[in-house]
Amino acid sequence: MGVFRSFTVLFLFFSSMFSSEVGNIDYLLSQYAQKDDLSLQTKKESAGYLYIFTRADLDMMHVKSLYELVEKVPFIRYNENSAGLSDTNYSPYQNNVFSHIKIYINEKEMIAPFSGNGFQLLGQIDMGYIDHVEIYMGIPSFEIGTETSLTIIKLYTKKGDRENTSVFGTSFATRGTTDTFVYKSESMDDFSYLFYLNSRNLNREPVYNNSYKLSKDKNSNDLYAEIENNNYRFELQCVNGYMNNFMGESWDITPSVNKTDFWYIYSGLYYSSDDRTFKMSLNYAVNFSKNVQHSDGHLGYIPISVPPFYMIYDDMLLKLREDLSDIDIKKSIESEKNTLLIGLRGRYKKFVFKDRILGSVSMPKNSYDTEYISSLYFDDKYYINEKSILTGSVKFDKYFESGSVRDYRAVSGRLGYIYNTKEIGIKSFLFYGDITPTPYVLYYQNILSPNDIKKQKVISISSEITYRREENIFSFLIARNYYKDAIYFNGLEYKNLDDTPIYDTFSFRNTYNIKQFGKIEFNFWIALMDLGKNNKDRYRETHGGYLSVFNSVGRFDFYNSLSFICNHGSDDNGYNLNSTITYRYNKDISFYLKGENLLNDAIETTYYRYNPLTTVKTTLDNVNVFDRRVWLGLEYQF
Amino acid sequence: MKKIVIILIILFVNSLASDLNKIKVEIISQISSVIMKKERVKVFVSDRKFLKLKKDTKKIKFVNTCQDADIIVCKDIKNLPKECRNKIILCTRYRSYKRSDSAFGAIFWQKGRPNLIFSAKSIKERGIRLPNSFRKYIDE
Repeated sequence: MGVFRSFTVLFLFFSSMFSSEVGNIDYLLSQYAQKDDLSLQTKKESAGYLYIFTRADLDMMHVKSLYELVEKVPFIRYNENSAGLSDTNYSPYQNNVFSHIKIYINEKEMIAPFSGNGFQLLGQIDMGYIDHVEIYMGIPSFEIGTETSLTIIKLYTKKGDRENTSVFGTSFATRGTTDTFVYKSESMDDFSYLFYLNSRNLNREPVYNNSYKLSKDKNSNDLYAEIENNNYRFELQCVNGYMNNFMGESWDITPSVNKTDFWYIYSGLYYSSDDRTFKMSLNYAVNFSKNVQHSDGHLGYIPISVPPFYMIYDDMLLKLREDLSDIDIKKSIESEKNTLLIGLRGRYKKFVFKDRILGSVSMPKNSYDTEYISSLYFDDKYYINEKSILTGSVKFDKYFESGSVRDYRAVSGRLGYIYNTKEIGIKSFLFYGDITPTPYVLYYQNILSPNDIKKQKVISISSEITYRREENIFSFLIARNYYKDAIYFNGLEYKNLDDTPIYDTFSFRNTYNIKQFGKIEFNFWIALMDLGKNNKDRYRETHGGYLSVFNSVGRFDFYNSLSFICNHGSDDNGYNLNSTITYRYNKDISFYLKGENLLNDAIETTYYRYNPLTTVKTTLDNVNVFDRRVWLGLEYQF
Repeated sequence: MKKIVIILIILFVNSLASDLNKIKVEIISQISSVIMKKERVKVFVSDRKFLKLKKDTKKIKFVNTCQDADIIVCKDIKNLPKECRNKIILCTRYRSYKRSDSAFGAIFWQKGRPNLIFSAKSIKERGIRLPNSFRKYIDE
């Protein structure tokens, strides 16, 4: 970073560090908020390595979208795919092979049945109805997730007994972006509710390939409602909108039309017994999407039976309907020094292309359009003594595929040890898990090749030690992960990798709560990758981290954060400076100024497309992953 | 053995909850000492969800009936016996505070944060003078 940028960073961080005469009652109330925020999360400490963004954190950051938090998670390089959707696994031509992040809103997994990727759905959608966020790393326990993943992000919605208010908010940002919401949430005598509406028009930084504008703009309208009492909770969500899909499928990156309209509707009913040992839930979601593309070059080709044996197309219409339904039953049994959780889950996925028109050809419906998953799991905690817990869990899954796609069985198991005193905490886990191919991979493999795809396997050994001293918390995490039979696309079909990549990861974290000042968080991580002898670029190293400062002075709240990521031996490096200042005019009205990627120096991605007819490779260099954006907003409580 | 399980659960899960309880007691203690100007104030807390463990301190003695209390912390005034409704009452729900003419103040959650308010009318009627650090919590 240059001198000017370094000065800007230092100024933003240290200008807010004025000492403030905070009355004792003010301090006690802020401590009450902080401790209450954290006490909501402690019960699941045994489920994995936990990162928490409390309500206070989210409010001070004025978080607009989930990607702002994912950027802070160690070992993850946030990215966007060629359709402009959030995708940390993006690699050219490797669509939807595997998503290692699963997203939940309360107990509902947000997943697109076809792509298997919920992060694409939610990465850039509003979060105004979210109270706090828990991120579980290191292959969390089965209590939390149905399908195996490496990272689970749980978004918890606002609750009536902590809201008791109505709020209207609106904000404007660079390039004509607007975001407006209203919500009402209250606790009544016997029940509480939340009702939330949002309308967002997100105008992204355009990217140009010669004269072609590649847009990632998104427009969405979101309704979320829930009502709950001591035993039952009912949730409802409707989202509709459209998005411009950046590069799309165009061979020369010359799209003239590239847009997806979508509708998402979800409802769920959740039951919990009075003593919380028995839980049941049933939910259903449907997603309609219509993607229209036209390229001034070509989009693809269809094999035909007459010379030249292929037909090029420049237009495409895809109408996809996806249905998803889950049923979940779990029972917790406590006896002597033991707690056993038994769970049974059923999942139904359906994905039907109502229309798949390539050029002038309406493609026939594929016989593969449904997947059922049944899961049985056991999660046991044995209390060795007052400080130590031994955990063990096993999950059995059966995937019932349709058409000519074969069924899969999957087994996952986890052993763990947890040691906890007031000052020291140790968590260690050993994990083995099967990860089946996504429906997207199975669908296209079914068209492209008669060859079978094996499921992927993950073996993970990890340990974290935490040291707490008064208001200072340090933690050090180390892990080694093996990925066997990783799936990739070789240009003609999907295959399993012969090599077994190994990932070694280290992370150091410190959270320092300073009385009458606020909080400072620091994280540094390293990921060392051995991609196997058949990979010419075998060894890779990436490191990153962030420094964040949260504090309040009088009526002002400040949030400043500098994230960085460096890929050794490449130009893939970036520094992302985010800053938010909130002014609380009175109890009911506040204004804020929020800046994202202020230095315009965050990570960039290079995209490319290959034209098989002309053999020309078209490259888009240095596309900003994070837009540089400034928001001005207002919130009014009434 | 079951006692061991209960102790383990309390230690493992509630370490932060006990810190939380201490902070709530300290908040009540601060409020009580500025309102009552007494060395030790008797407090009755009927809202069990708000405060689970009532541990006496130098400034506060927790009592078991509202009749014995100087200050009452409750969810809703309408649930109190009539003879207690003239005492200094802090509601733990904003709706209860707003509905009542006699509530002195409230400590409640709103917009994800704990809030504190005191009724200007009650302060004036009782001739109480709050220190500067509490003035911003007066509900005009």
